This record gives sequence, structure tokens and C-alpha cells, in this order.
Amino acid sequence: MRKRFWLASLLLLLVGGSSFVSPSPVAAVESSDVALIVNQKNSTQDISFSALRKYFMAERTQWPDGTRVVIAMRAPAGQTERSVVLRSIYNWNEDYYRTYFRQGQFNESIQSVPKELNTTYAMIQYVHYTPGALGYVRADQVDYSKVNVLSVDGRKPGDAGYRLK
Amino acid sequence: MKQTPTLAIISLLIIFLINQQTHAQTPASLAAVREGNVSTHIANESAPQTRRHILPLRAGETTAGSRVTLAADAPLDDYADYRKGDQFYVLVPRAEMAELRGELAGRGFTATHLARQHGDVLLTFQLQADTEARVTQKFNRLEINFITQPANSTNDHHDAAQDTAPQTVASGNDHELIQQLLRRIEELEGQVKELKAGAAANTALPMPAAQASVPTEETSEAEKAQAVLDEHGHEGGAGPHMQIQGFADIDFRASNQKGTTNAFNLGQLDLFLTSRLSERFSVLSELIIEAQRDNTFRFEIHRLLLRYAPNDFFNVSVGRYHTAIGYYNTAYHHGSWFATAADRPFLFAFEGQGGPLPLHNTGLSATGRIPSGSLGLHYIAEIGNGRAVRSPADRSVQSAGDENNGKAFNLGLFARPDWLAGLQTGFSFYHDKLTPLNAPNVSQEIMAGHVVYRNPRYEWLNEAVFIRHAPAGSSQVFYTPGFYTQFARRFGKATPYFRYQYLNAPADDPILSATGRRNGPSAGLRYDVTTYAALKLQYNRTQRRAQRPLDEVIAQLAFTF
Repeated sequence: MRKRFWLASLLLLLVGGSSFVSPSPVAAVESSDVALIVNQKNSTQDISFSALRKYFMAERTQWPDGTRVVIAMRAPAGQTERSVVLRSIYNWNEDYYRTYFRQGQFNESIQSVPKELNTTYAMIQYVHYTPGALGYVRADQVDYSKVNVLSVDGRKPGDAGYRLK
Repeated sequence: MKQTPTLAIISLLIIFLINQQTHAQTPASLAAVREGNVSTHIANESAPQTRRHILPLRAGETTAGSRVTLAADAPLDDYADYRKGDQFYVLVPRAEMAELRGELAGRGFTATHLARQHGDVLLTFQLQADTEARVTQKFNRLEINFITQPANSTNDHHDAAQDTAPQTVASGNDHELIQQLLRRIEELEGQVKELKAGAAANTALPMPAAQASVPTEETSEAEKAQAVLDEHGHEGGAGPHMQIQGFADIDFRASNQKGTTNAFNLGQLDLFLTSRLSERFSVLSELIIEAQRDNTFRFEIHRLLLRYAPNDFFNVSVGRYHTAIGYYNTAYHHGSWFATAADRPFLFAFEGQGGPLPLHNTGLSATGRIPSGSLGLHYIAEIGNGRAVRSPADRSVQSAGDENNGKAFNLGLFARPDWLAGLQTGFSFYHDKLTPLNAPNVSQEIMAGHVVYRNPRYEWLNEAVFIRHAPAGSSQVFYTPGFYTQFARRFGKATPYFRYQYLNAPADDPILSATGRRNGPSAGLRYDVTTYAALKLQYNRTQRRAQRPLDEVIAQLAFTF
């Protein structure tokens, strides 16, 4: 047994790296938290909840650098993360959400309605390729190689007091 | 399970081979302890080379045993799992993870141990007797299923195993095992070749190798194309694309007014057209087709606007628009489906129906946000032809000319404060010079204020308007006050509502003498039969100057399409 162990260890040295264990910076993310994601070119890292609501309601349509905000919503109605956003950001039900944007277009207060993406993968890809996009996915499904995560009032998914859950 | 050193070496060779061919996709730093059944997964060539962060583990029960979910911030295509005796190992190369929070156990496994070494993470699960462990990878998640009985003994177990990749190899004699491992090596070599060949062509939209919930490659390309379209604002070469929304209503009205009969009638067919010309320019139009009392149809362009919207602070439109006097006119326009009640308040009746206000105008309109913090201030500035008054019978909108050179203007402010979502309050001031035939010119000022609160459950609309008419060369001034309050509460699909309204134009007002005084309550019920269609029933009782009270019942089916 010992011989086998040393043999394996020798092979390991040939193959493996020599990196050392470092303390994990990973926050304690609750899977039920919804992470707000933006394009990697977006310099915004933190947003106030009131500003966030204005973006989602299309009352505010530009990022601080002037880029046009494009809201991306998950579809279909009843989808878990969509429900979290409707409840925690809009504080509306699905019908009111639909009526709001239909009426907003009608009375000229809204220039463009949210885009709707059917999968987490599509959401991440859409945000990745759209400079002004503001979307969301479940916190444990964020692909950090493609999108950035926004904090809300200084809190990230998993933090105490984070509102999108 | 009885193993030999040969088996261990073969296992390690697998890791070594994969590692070499995938350019360090799978460091084998923890492979030193490997013996037994091995399953290794090839990462996509485009997988990130940085260390992944593994989130805290989650455990839950399943029908066949239990499940532990491991999630990271990047795909986990290159994980490996293997079993030795009653221990089940899951290796995630190039990863880091915080210490386990307390004891993690469940049906089928009694303990979990975390080891971090050389930049890899190794999880060890202590299995209970007769427990089988299998791993399913979904993008950046691993689902480790512990099945407490043989996998094919019940339907439940079959279900649990159905989405599990065939990763572990059944125990047997060493020869058979070695053969299986060799076949696995060949299979993995093939996959590596495929990945290398496809890597160059697949750099734009890398698709994770094993992602159950992601769209097809074709779909993701479509998403990319859509993203490009959105970024550039329109579809190249094809010109702008017009969108049409429709609104309509069908009514039944009955009243005790002399000279009228009970009748069904088509309300307005409202075609709302929008088109984006570029990121900053857009067009909208509201076209109305309306049945007349003589059973003919009348077509009218109620809104036609070219809009330039460079930012949130300044948006300007040119064309025919709805005047932003008060709230109701620009909130509901001609879309009766949006409105809770079956008819409009007297104050906001359209010009052709005897309404006292100039609700349409042709000219320029600007609006935007005023930096005001949580107050949420917005401004409105409009200038246009105003309303025709030459003939008492003609109160039409001046879309093609103006009776005078003076232009009507309207200035307004409204606030949507952060501290009470759904609240809007505002004020506007309108001025026009009216030039009736055979009468002195009249200076018209209209002051309007509103306080409105709307949310999915409640609607409370309150508006007051003060119309001032001052004939030139006279000290006499005529005031017409008017207001309404409307309250509605939604219960599921039903929304009962109540409204009280008042309007009192002096009998000798040079412009509004025919309007007179009208006041009274309305009560009704709106029932949303579907998301986009509503049935409304309403009763109005209206007191009128020098006339008997008017009782009216309205049934309306309003919808959008």
C-alpha cells in the first residue's frame, strides 16, 4: 500500500502543479439569491435600490457613462428568478407588469420594453454581447468570465440584507 | 472491492493523458490517492484557466436517497469522481472552496470531508452500506446523487439515475476493469481531438459540453444576432420595423336622456403604431376609427409624432400630440382598456364630445427628467396651434392651420417620489389666445393639478382644473372649476370603483356656455376576463343645470390586441 502511494505521488509530481492552497474569498451565497448582471464593459459596480427600480421601470434609461440601458427579463411568466425580480424590485404581479409596459409605450413614457430571454445561458450571452444590458440570473449560475455582478446598496448576493431573494 | 497497483497506475495514466492533451485541463495533484473506479471529464478548450470559486454545498433528500449540489462560478466540465471502498471522491481541479460549515451528511452518506491541495479541491463522502454515488454535471453545477439501493431496482432509482452520466465502472475483475479503462482512454482521446478541431470555429460562442438547460448552438447564435441588432438599433438594410398594437371597445348604453335610445355601439378602434428609426429617433402614431351616430365611420389621426430622445433629460417630439393638461389625458389617451372606468370624466371628454379642455394639439412637445434626487421631478413644455373656436359647433383640433398667429403653450411639472412608489403629483399651466368670430378675443388659461396613486391593488385618481377666460376689452372674467376623484380596489380579477365628478361652466362663458354644470357619482365594476380583455359595468347619475338628472348604464367590453 505504501509503495503504491509513493508511486502515485511520484506521478503526481510529474503531472500536477505546485500551487498552494489559498483562503477562499467566496462569499456565502444563498442559491435563492438573484444576482444582477451587467456587461463587462459597464463600469458600474454598485447601484442604489431606488436607481435600480427606475432602471427596471424604464424611468431611467442611461448608465452614468451614457450607454442606453437595456433591461433583460427571464421568461416565461412564473419563472423563478423573474418572480423574485417582480416581487423584490417592482413589487408587482405579472399582469400589472405587462400592463405597465404596454401603457408606458402607449403614453410615450417608455421608449423600449424589456427583452425576454428563455434560459440562463441565453441571459448571460445576451448581457455579454449587449453593452447596456442589465439582467439577472441565480447567484450560483453566474458566469464571471462573461458578465459582471452588480451590488445593490453595497450588498452582493449572499450578504445579509441583500434584497433580491 | 479488491484493487491492484496496476489499476492505480492505469487510473493515473488516464489523468496524465487527459492532462497532457487538454493542456492542463485536469491537474492530477490529488490523483495520488486514486484507486478504484475513475471517471474524468474533459473541459472545453475555452474553459477559463483561472481558479474557480466553489460555493457552499447544499444537501437535500431525494426519493432514492439524497443529493449534494456543488456550484461554482465557472463551468465544471473537467471534474473527476471515483470510488474507493465506502468512500466516494469528487475532484475539482483549479478550484478553491471555503471550509465546510458543520457536518454535512444525508441519506446514503454519513460524513463529508474537504481537502485542498495544489490548487485543487477534493471532496470525500463516507458512503453507507448499499449506497451508490453518481455525479451529474450541469454547466457550473455538480449534482452528487446518493442512491441507497441498487440503481435499477425501482423506478425511482431509475429516475434518479436517468440524468446521471455513466461515470462509475461496475466492480469486477481487474482484466475487465482495465479493458474498460482503456476504452475510456480511447473515448477521451477522441473527444480531445474533436475539441481541438472545433475550438477555432467555436470561439465566438463557446457552448459548455454538458449543459442540460442551455439552448442549442443555433439558438445561441440567434441570441448573439439579436444582441448585435439591439446594439445597433435597427435591422440593417431592411429599414425600420413598425409595430402595431390595437385597442378597441364595444359598448351598450342605456339612459333616460330624451332623444336617445338604448343601443349597442362600437367604440373606438385605436391602432397604435410605433417604429424605431435609430437609437434616438422614433415615430409613434395613434389612428382612430370611430363609428358615428349616423352609422358612418370616421377616421382620424389623433397622434403622430416624430420623437428625438437623446437622453433622460431632454426628449422632444414634433407633430400632433395629447396635451399634458392634468393626468388622465396622457395616461389613457384613447385606450379604454387601460382605464378602469367605462367612460372618461367630464373634464377629459374629447373635444368632439363636448369636452371643455384642449386635449389635442399640433406642434412641439418636450419632456424630461429634472435632477432632483428622491423627488423624481419631470418637466413638460408644449407649444402648438391650440383649439379652434371660430364656430361654436366646431371645436376641432387645428391640425392643418391656426385661426391666429398666437400659439398655445403648456408648462408642467410632476413628481414621482421614491418614498412612495406609485404616487404621482403634478401641476400644469396652459395659455392660449382664442379668436371667436364676431366676439372679442379671449385669453384662456388653464391650471390643472393632480395627485394620483396607483399600484397593482389600489387606484386613486384626483384631479382639479381651473379654466379662466378673459375677453379682451372687458373686466369680466369667467372661471370654470372642475374636479373628479376616483377610487378603485382590485380583488383578483374584479375591480369595483367609484367616482365623483364636478364641472361648472358659467352660462355666459364666451367659450364654454354649452358645457353648463354637471356633477354626480358613478359606480362600476371592472372584471378582467383575460389579461388583455375587460368587461366593465357602470352606472352614472348626473345632475345638470336646469335639466332633470341623467341616469345612465354602460356595459363595455374593452380589449387590446
